[in-house]
Amino acid sequence: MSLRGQIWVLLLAFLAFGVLMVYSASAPRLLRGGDVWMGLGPYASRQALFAALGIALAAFFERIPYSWYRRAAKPLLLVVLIALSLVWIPGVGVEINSARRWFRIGMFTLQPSEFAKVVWVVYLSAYLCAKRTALEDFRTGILPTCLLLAVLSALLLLEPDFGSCVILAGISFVLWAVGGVPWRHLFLLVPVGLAGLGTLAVTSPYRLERLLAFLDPWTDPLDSGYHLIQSLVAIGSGGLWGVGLGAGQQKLSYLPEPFTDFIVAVVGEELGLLGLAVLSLGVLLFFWKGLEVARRARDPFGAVLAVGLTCLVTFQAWINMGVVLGVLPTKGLAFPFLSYGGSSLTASCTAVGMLLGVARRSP
Amino acid sequence: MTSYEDGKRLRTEARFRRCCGALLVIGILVCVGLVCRAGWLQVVQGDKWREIKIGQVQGSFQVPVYRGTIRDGQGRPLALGVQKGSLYADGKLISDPVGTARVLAPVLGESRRELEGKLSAKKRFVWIKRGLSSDQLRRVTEARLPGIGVQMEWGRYYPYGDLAGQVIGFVGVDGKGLEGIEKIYDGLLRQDPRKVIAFRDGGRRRVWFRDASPPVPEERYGLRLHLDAFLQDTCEAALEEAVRKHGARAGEAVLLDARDFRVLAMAHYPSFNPNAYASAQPDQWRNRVVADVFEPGSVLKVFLMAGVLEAGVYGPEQLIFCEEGKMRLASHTIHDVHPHGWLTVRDVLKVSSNIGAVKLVQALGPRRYYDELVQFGFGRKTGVDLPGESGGLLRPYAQWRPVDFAVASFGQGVGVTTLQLATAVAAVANGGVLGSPRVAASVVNAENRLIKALPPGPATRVLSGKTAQYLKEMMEEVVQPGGTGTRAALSDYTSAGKTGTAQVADRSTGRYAPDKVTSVFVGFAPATHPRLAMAVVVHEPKGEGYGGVVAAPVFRHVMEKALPYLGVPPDKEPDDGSNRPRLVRWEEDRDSAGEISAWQAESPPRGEQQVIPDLRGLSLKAAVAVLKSAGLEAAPQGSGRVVHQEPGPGEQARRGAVVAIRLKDL
Repeated sequence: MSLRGQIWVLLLAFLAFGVLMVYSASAPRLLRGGDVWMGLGPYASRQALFAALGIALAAFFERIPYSWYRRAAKPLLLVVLIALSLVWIPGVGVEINSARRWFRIGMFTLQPSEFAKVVWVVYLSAYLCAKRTALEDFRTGILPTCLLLAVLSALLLLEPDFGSCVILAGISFVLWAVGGVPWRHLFLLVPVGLAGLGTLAVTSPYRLERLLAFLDPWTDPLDSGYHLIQSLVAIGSGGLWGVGLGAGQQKLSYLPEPFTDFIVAVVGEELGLLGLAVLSLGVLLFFWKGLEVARRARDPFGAVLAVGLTCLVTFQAWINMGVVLGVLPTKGLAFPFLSYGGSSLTASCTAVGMLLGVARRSP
Repeated sequence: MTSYEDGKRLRTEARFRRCCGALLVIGILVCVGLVCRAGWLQVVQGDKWREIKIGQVQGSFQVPVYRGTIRDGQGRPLALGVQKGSLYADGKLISDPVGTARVLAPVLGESRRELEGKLSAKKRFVWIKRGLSSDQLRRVTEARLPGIGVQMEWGRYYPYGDLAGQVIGFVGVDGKGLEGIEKIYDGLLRQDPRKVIAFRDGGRRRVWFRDASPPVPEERYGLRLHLDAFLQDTCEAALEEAVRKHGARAGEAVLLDARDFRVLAMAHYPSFNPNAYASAQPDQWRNRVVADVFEPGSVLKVFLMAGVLEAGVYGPEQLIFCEEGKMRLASHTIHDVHPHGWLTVRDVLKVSSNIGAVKLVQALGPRRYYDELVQFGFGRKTGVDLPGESGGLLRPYAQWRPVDFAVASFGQGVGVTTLQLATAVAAVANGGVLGSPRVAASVVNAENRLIKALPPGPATRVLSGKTAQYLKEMMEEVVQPGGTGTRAALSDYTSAGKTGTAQVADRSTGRYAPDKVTSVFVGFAPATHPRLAMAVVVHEPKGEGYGGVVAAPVFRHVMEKALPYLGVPPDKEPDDGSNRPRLVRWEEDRDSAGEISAWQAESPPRGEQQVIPDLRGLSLKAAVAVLKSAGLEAAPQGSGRVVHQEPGPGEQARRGAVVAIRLKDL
C-alpha cells in the first residue's frame, strides 16, 4: 500500500474508533437526562457528522497544491489573530467553564485556537523556507517568529488555553530545529521559554494548583486532584483486558469530561492495557508515516510542513495521554480524532489532509 | 558561490534528516513510556484502583419495605400501606412566609397564623402537614411555592373505615403501630428496609441498568385475621341498632368460633375510624371488649351451675325453695324479678332466680365457686392477641364476706370483660374445653399466600363433657318459652344462652346507681352442635333494660345471618311449619375450613333417584339432619365426626335408602 493509503487507513480507523468511544462515553449523560433516543445519540451522531466533514476536508486539502500555502500563510495568520480576538466580543464569543475559547456559528460553536495551531505550522514552515539565508542572523531569522509566537500565545493565554500554548511552543521548537535555525539561537531560547512558562504557571494560582496536583493528587482528592484521581481509577481498574466496551463505570459522572479531554481514560477502563497499547501504537505509526512523508517531500517547504503537521497531531495525542495517565499536569487538550468536538476534529483532519497533499506531490 | 549554496543545502538537509531520526527515536521512547505507565497502573496497581472504584461506585441502597396488609379471614384488606405526600418547608428558601401561608391555609384547612409561625422559623426542615389527601397534594404542587416541598411517605389506609376500628387500631405518623392489631403485631408488620447493592454515579445519584433494575417498594409480611368483615359488619349493625333503640351509652359484642376460639367479630358502639384517629378522642381508641371491666349480672349463674353440677351438690332436677321472691341476708334483702316458690335447679337458670342462685352458691361454698370462676378464666387475662387487655376483677374468696359471695352468685361484685364472658360461654359450648381467643390467623405474603399459620392459644378442660352437656341443655331452655332469653330464639337453628341485667356502681358514690344497668346476653348456636358463641353487652340502656330485651335480639340478628353465611346446616324446622325447599350448605371438612360446597336439597317426588350428599366432617346430628331432609336414612357407627360414608357422595340412591356412616373422634 502506498504511503498515502496507509495514512488514510490510520485516519479512518482513528475516526471510527472516535465515534465508537464517544458513543460509549456519552451514554450515561444521555441516560441521566432521562431522554429516550435512538441510534447513536446526539453526541456520537454529531461526532460522526464531524468525522464525515473531516474526511471531506482531508480529501479536499489532499488535492490542493501545497505550494499555494506559501502565499496564503500571512493572510491566514491575520485571520486567525482576528478570530482569536473575536471571542472577546460579547454576543459573538461563548464562555464555557469560565474560559472564552469559542464563538457561535449557528447551532455549533467554533474553537479558533484549534485552527490557529494549523495555521501557525503553515506560516512558520513558509517563513523558515522563505528566510533560508537570513536564518543565520538572530534578528532577521528567529526573532520575528518569536515575537509573533508571543502575541499568539498571549491571545491564547487570555482565553485561557494553556494547553494550546504549550503545543505551539513545542512545535515551534521542532520546526526551528528542522528548518535550519542555528542551534546556538535555539539553546538561547530554551531557558527563556522555560522561564516564561514557569512564570505564567506560578503567577496564576489556579494553574499552579493544577500543576502541583498531578504530582500528588491525594493531597486534595476532592478538588484539584479529583480529575486526575478519577482518571487513574478509570485506567487502573481496566486491568489488562478492560472491563468491556461500554461497561465502564467511571463515565457515570466520576470522570469530569468522559467524552472530551478524558476519553482515553474511558478507553483504558473499557479496553484495558491492550486498548491503550494499540492506541499508542497507532499514534506512533502515524508519527512514523508523517516523518516518512517529510523525508520524501519534493522541496524543503513540503518537508518542514510535513514535520510540523505530523508533530501537531501526535504531540497533542501524547500530551493528552500523559495527562490522563498522570505524568503531566492537566491542561485541557483534546485527543485528536477521538475527543468529542467539531473544531478539534476538523482542524486535525485539515492537518492530515495537508500532510497527504505533501505526500501526493512527492516524487 | 554555487558550491557554497550547495554545500549549505547539503548541510541543511543532513541536519533535517538527523532531526527527523531524533524525532522518531523520541517518538518511540514516548510510546514505550506511555505503555509502561499504563501497564504500571493497570497491571501492577490494578487491584488498588479497582478497590477504590468499587468503594465509590457501589453503595448500599435501602429498598422501602412498607407496612404489611391486614386482611380478614376471606382476604379482604382491612389495612393497607399507601403512599401519602407530606408537606415540609425549608425556612431558608421561603422569602414570603405571609404570602405562602395565605396560599396554603385554604388548601390545608389550617389557620393562617399557625402556618405563618411555622414558615417564619428559619429552620431548614419543618413538617407543615403529613398525610395529604390527593387533592391537597395536587393543589400544593400546582401552587409551586418556593421552599415548600413534598416528600412521599408510606402511610396507612383503612378501606372499611370504622369497621373494627378499635380492633385493628392505627399507626402513628412515624410508622409505629399504636393500638390494636397494629400495635401487637407491629414487629411483624413493620419491617426494616431491605439493603441492596446499587451503583451510584459521581453525583451520588443511584444508577440502574436493564439487568439491575430499580427495586420497587415491597411488602414482606402481611397478616390474615380470623375476623370476618361480613360478620363484623353484621355485629356492628345489630349492636348499633340495639344501642340506638334503647338510648344506651355504649355497647360491645364478641362473636367467637365455639370450636377453636377464633374471634370472628368484635364490635363496638360507638365505633372509631382509624383513618382519622387524630380527630377522635383517645378514649374512643380503646378496645373496650378486652379493656373495660363491668359487673356481668346473672350470666354468671351459668358458671355457678357448672360448679354446682360438676361438684354434684345438686342435680338438675332437684328442687330449691325460692322464698317467694324475697330473702334477707345479713342486713341486705335479695329480690327476684318474679317471685317463685319451689323451682328445679334447671328452672333457677331458666327464670334466672337470684334467690335460687344464692342458695346454690351457699351449698357450693365460696372456695369452690371462686375456683370455678377462675377455671372459666375470670379474674385473669384470656391471652388474646390484643393489647391493653384487662384481667377483670375477682377478689380472692378469702376476702369475701357472706354477702359478697352471695351476690357474686348472680354476678354482682365481680368485674369481667366482654371477651372473658364470650370465651367462658364458648367453653361450655365447646363441651367444656376453654381455649385462648385469637384474632390473627396467619402470616401471609403480599399476595395473601400463607407463609406461616399462627398457633392457636392453649386449651384446657374446665368442665367434664357430661356436665357441659347438661349445662347446654339448661341454657337451651333459657331461650325457650318461659325463659328470660326468648328473644334469642332463632327460626332455623336451635340456640342457647343466658341473660343478665346488672346494676352499675356509681363511681362517685360507690353505691349502685338506681337507674343504671348493664344488659348482657351470652349464648351459642346451634345448640345441638355449637358453632358460634357470642357475648353482647349494652351499657346503660334507658327504660326496660333487661338483658333478655336489649342484648338478646342482637344475638338473634347476628346468628340468623352468621350461621347461614358460614354454611352451618339448620337443625330446626322453621317456626311457620312449612316444609319449604331451601338451600342447605355445610362444611365439607373441618380441617379445610372455607371449602364450602353447596347442595340443593329440593324435596323430590317419592320413589325418585336421590343424590347422596357429602356428609364428611359433619357431626352425627348434622349428618342425620342432612340425610333426613334428603329423604334418606342413616346407619351410624362410632362417635364424633363423619369420616366415611357408604354409598359415597354424589352416588345415586332410591329415596328412603340407608346410608352407612362411620364416625370418629377427631
